[in-house]
This record gives sequence, structure tokens and C-alpha cells, in this order.
Amino acid sequence: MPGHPIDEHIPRLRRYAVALLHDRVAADDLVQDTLERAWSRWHLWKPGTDLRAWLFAIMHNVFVNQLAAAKLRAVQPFDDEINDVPVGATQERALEMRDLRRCLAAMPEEQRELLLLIGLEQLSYEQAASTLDIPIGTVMSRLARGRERLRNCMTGVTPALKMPNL
Amino acid sequence: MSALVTEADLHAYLDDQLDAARRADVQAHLAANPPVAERIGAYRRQNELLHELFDGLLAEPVAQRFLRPPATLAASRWSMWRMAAAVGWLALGAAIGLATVNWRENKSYEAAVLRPALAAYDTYAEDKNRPVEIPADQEPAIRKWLAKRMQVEVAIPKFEAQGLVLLGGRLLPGRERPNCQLMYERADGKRIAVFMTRERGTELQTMSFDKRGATELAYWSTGVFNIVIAGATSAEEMRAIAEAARAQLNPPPSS
Repeated sequence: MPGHPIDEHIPRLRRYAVALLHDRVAADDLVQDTLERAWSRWHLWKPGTDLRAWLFAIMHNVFVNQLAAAKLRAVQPFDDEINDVPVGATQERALEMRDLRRCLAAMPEEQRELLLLIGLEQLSYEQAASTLDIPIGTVMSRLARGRERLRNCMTGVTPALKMPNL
Repeated sequence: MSALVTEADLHAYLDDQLDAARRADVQAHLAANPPVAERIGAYRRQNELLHELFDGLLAEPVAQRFLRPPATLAASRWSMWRMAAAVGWLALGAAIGLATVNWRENKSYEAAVLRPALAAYDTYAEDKNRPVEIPADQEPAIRKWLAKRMQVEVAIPKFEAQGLVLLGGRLLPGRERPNCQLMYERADGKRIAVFMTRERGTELQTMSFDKRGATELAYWSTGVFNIVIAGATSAEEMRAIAEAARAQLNPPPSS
């Protein structure tokens, strides 16, 4: 079967979807829905533009629609597969990873999305802004809130009401 | 002494999205404000942990269902046509060229990896008395011999949790270097073979599944070997075996 330019981005779409949903089955469904939409709109993609950002934007829209449709309700518990800590992880790191997973799951979706797009997928702030269709200022403030929330959660502090000055 | 540093600057510093001059400002600010430095350090750790947790997914199989189905392929070739007409024949030519290269690569992966694996499975899995050259009770010898002939360390995965016992291993002819096959057996006599070859590069890092006749296949590259697991089993069982094999054969994530 001929390869499609989209194919090479599938692993990263999947990594992002699993991190976002903490559930492989739901994540694979999200990837599938995203790909179907991407294929059906392939003629809308402008060659020379950032294909990865285009795909993430589609995934974001599908995700938001699914949230709205309440297909994805509350955050699901992590499945065991993902709970497996990579070989060689020390006990301390294993605990740290478990905390991160738990805290990530407890974050509001919009903060989690942005945190993952930037921290994991390493999109630029501009790419993230266009992917999520929000102003760059919102990217910065949401990112700061998300990171601080995650830090507090991981250190066992209740979410701070007061944010550092922006 | 340091210039005004905003929260946004701190994040851009962390995410490597600052220019050099501004970086120096932030570094000075962090040096002068240990609590801020500590906070940014914690954010950096978040990013590291995210990668440690989820990067393993990048090496995972691209399921067949994610590759575009023939129906939409036809539909969007039509769209590509229209686009090409608008943009020019050049784009069309490039697209066809790319597709052809890809197609050829898949063809030769089929010829160099999948077909030999299937042939070896068909030949030896059904051989009641001599399925292997060296039996499992001489496992160290198998490992040593394969390493010598294939010129690389060969790990021998175990599938006890999947109800499979190692029968042994054998060397197989290859085009440039020998290949090898490890044979496993279930209590009911059904056999599973793990085929390893160093041919055809290692580009296929994601795991794929396929079925040929009654034989389920799982295949991927560990970065050293192209691995093909073959067996007359259920797709579900094959998936479990392949996951177990990957966990044992792929190099652990750097830590």
C-alpha cells in the first residue's frame, strides 16, 4: 500500500492522544477519528505548510467535539499497560512518574492539552496558538497556570489560588 | 541589575523559545532568585517525565486501521488530482514518485523479511520431531552460536506468561548474513516462531500485524533486527506475545 505523508505523523498523534486521554482504547479511537477527518480534507491542506500542526489542530477539534458530545466523560483510570514504568526506572522515579500521571489526569483538559503540545510535542507557542485557535497571550497564561498546577499537585500542595505575576 | 523578566520569559526560556540576549537576562534572574529557579527546575522535570512516560509510544505499531483504507485512497487521489491540476504537474509527479518509492520499499520488505519468515515457519513449525537445530536445554550454546553467526548479540525472549515454552533455535540462510528462528510450543502442541533478520534496514519501528492464511503475523524492527513472529493463533494472543517480545527484545528506553 502506498505510504501517505500523514502516515509518518501517526506515532506522534498517538503519543499525544494517549497522554491526553490516559486510555489506549479511547486514544486510538481519537487517532482514528482524526485520521479520517484528515483524509477527507486532504485537499484542504496547503502543501508547504506545517502538516504536523495541521493534524494536531484536527485532533484538537475532534477532541473538543467529543468532549462536548460527552463521549469522553470524566478522566478514566490509567490502564495497566501505561502504568508500567519503563525498565530501569528507580523506585523514586517510578513514584514520580505515577504522581505525574495522576496529576495530569486531574488537570482541566484545556491545560493538559497545552502542556502536552508544548512540553511533550514541543510545538512552538505560535504553533500551539494556531493549533488550539487561541491568542498567544492565552497560550502563555494557560501554560503558566497548567505548569504551576501540576507542580503543586506533584508536591502535594493544594492548587494555588494566587498565580505568579505574569 | 537584571532586566525585567516576566513569567512568559521564564517559560520561553524553559521551552527554548528565547533569543540569546533574552536568555542571558533570564539566567541572571534565575541566579539571583533561587525560589524561581527551583520552580522552573520543577517545570523542566515535568517535561522530562512526560518524555520518559510517553516516548515509548513512538516505537509502537501503527495499526493497520490507521493506514488509509483503499476507498478513501481512491477518493482522495481524485482530490490530489484536482490539487495537482491547480498547483501544476510538478506536484503530481512528485506525489507519484514518492508513492512509488514507498510501494517499492514495502515490496522488498515483503520479499526480504516476511516471505523468508513465513517459509521458515511453514517448514519447521509442523516438523514434529526436529523443529529446531539446538534444543532449549542448551540455551547458552544457542545464544553464543547465533551471536557468532549473525555478528550481534541475540536475546532469547521468554513467553512463559503466554503459555509458551522454548523448544530451541536454528540458523537460516539469508541473502547477506544468516537469519535465525526461535521456536516455541504451547501445551496443546501449537507452535510459534520468532524470526530475526538483519536485512532490510530498521525503518519499521512501529509494530504491524497481519494474517496470511491461518498464520497470524506480527513484525517490527528493534533497531537491530527485523523481527517477525508467526503462529497459528488468535490475533489477540499474537498481540500479547508480540508485546511481550518487544518488551524483551527492544533496547530499554535510555534512562
